[in-house]
Amino acid sequence: MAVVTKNQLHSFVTPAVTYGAVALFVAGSIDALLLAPKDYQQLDIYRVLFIHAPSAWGSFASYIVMTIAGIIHWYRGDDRSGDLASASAIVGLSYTLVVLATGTLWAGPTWGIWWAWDLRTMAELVLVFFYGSVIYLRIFAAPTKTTLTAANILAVAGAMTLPVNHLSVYWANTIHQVPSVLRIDAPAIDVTMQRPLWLLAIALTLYYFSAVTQWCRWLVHRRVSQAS
Amino acid sequence: MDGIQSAVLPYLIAMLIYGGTLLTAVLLRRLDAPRPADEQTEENLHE
Repeated sequence: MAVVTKNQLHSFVTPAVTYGAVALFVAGSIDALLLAPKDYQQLDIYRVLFIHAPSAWGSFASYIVMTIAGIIHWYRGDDRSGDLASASAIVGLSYTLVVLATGTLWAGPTWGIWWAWDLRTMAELVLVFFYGSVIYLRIFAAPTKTTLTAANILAVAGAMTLPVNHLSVYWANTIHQVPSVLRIDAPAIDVTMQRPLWLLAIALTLYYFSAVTQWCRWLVHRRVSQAS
Repeated sequence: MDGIQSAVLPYLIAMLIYGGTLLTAVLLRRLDAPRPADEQTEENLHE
């Protein structure tokens, strides 16, 4: 019976996930830009939302993983959860930058202003600073107990902004629309418009696993290099 | 603003940021890895 080692499995799964992410990203983008029907009100510019919304979900999910992994690392002191927290912070920052960039490119033609200083956009902008601070403390600052504690306190403080961020469209007088998919009742968009959204959501989920793996490998490599 | 081209730029930016994040990790690890020339020099030094 053939025995598959952990390394062999790793060398197959990691590229498969990366190529899967790229293939689904291309398929989802073609679907979003060419195949999905035009919106009757926003016309073609609404197609930006197919990449904007899954990126926003990614920015939230990565933040939650980063916070939980950071606390586990602080409590147990194992490097693996520490690396997961650091890598999730980097990947989460990439999601957040895409959310802000695509959001402003959509808002300009739709709202008539490129940036609204309202609760939703501010809450997303704040995530950039939380991610940036955690990345600095975890990766670039001296790895002491104090910096790790500071990183965790910041991460937990930032996590408290997530529900405010999600619910801000209901609570505040904001120009940002309410959720169309992540809501208690059924999604408010047509099935033909949901397809590219889910394709890109799966692509960005695979991207998360691929990018986090690559960043964890670098973190392990760097730690080994510094120790020797 | 109408036309699909109005929605293309955000996808290109997303591709750049996501691709850049992934490739930076790969490149950093490759740059940190000891090069064959370095190993050879090290061996020569030991000799």
